[in-house]
Amino acid sequence: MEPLPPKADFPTETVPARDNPFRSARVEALTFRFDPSQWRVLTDRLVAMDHRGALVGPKGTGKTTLLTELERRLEAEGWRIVRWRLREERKRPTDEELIAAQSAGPGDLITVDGAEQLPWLHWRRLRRLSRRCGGLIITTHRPGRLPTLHGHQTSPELLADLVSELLERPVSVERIEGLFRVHRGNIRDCLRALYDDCPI
Amino acid sequence: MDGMIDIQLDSTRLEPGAKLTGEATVGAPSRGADSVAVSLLWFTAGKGTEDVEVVEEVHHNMPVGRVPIRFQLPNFPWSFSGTLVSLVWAVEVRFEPKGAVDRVEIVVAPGQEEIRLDALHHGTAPT
Repeated sequence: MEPLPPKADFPTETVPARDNPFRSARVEALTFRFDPSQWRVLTDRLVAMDHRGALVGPKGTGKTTLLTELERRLEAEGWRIVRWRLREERKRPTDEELIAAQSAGPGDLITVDGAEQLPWLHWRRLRRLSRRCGGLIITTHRPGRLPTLHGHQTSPELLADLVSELLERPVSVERIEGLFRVHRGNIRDCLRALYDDCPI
Repeated sequence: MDGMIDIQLDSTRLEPGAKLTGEATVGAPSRGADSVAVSLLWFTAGKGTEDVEVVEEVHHNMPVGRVPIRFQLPNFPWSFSGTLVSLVWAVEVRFEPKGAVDRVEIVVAPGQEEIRLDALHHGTAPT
């Protein structure tokens, strides 16, 4: 594995977890970097796709963040959102999630975070269920399950922007580019590594 | 003061099991709120997923003016901090179902000092 880039730009004094600028609550509160015109393009595209599409990208590239923000905007438009949150430890919906999807109607949108986890037969069943409701939006690592609504890409510039917001000051370009390279563009992993660089 | 909440506690450092007192000044909510909830809670903060435990919650029908805050603190858990996780106590007052929120963090631990896990690890914790 490539050696970690040198630590720099971080305080050397002790930092309790509650004050760590990269603590999970702050990272999760970061908003997706879209300007109003990009949001308009995304929502127009979603309508054109009859509210059926996939947010596609590797781990740690902001799919869940974008989905959460999109859900909030769709709820403000009057949609009721039926959320499924899947992950490696839980590849199938809970009973409550399944019942909510079974009772979904034309005013409901089903959203599935981590759709690549869903076994093929369950995916077919969800597709059938979703025909009765207003739409189906998923996040997935690879294209294929639904037409791609948005393809996620990250960059050192994006990482630098997020780190600056959390630290409230800029970080050296070398540090950002090194982290980005080591973690192969996974922004979440970069921010977790920076958490460890603020030691007690 | 429209839609604003301001919490004033008599003390923000307390012993476990002590009584916590204070008041919240509540302005008229702009819209969408029909009550005020006063909560005593603790949460974790750090590298992992945040846990939240609401220990006690009191609801008041849309008061405007001063809302008393009175809680009997439990004996556990204590406020602590390490590199990976902190446990933080807080009092929160918010309009329900939506509206302004104010939160004040407090320390609940013996000696009214947050336990520092790094100090325990290095044998320098106060006795």
